Amino acid sequence: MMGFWSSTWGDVATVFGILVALGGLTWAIVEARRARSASEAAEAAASDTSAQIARYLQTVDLQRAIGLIQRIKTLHDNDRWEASGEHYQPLRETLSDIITRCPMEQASVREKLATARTSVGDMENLVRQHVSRHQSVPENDRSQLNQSLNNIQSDLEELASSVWFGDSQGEMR
Amino acid sequence: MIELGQILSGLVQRTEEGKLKWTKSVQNGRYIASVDVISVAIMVDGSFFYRLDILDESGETVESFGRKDTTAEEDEELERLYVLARRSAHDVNSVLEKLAKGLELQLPPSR
Repeated sequence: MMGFWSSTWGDVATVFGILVALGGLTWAIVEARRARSASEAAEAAASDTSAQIARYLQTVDLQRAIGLIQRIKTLHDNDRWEASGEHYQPLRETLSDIITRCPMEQASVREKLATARTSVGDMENLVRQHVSRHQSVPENDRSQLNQSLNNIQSDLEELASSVWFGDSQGEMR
Repeated sequence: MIELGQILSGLVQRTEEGKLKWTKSVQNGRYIASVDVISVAIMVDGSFFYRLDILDESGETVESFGRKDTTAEEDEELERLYVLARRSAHDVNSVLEKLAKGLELQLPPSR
């Protein structure tokens, strides 16, 4: 018996070593897979959180832009043209922030927002022209200003109502 | 360097194809459209001089082409673009169709 062990212990040890190595390798593969799926899950969660924050910020900016338009319209109604002129630049900047956050694939929304921003710039110039000349704003201009502001407000309200919350597929639609 | 003529041709073509929607500005005789976030505005002054403004991603006017900067051909193309922009902004085709319908004219089949 002792003779057998003394001649074969090396082989047994080799087989045992191979088994231990295989076990270790299997364990390492399982752990690596577990780590990878944990890392992927963390990455997905981070991306989802980031999308939700973007949607939240987008909604805040849309509400801010709508609020600014309401404020400008009220000031127009009260003939406070000089004061209204100070709200146009913040409105343009807010529209720029909304455009920046709007996904590239939503080309038609981005175009509509860019056109709205340029229209707001033209409104600002028109109001400033009247203010600098100390002129009252003619009815035609007043009506065009309010009509343009209403159109932009309506587009922004539609956009605000379509921004999703808490949906992993969600992008601003 | 991209030539103004190329830009004008592109704008005219997209407008004719109905892919570029123009909006009337509050400033008389001025129309605005956007290609992604780049806006363009075309206007005519009291002397019938046309001008094309190009606004960048942040909404700043970065280029402006007027009579002094254009060749005779480009000026004609500017005028053509202006007419197309005005028609697009006022949806003139729809108005003409309604008028033709009212006059009981035979309309060509829509393409």
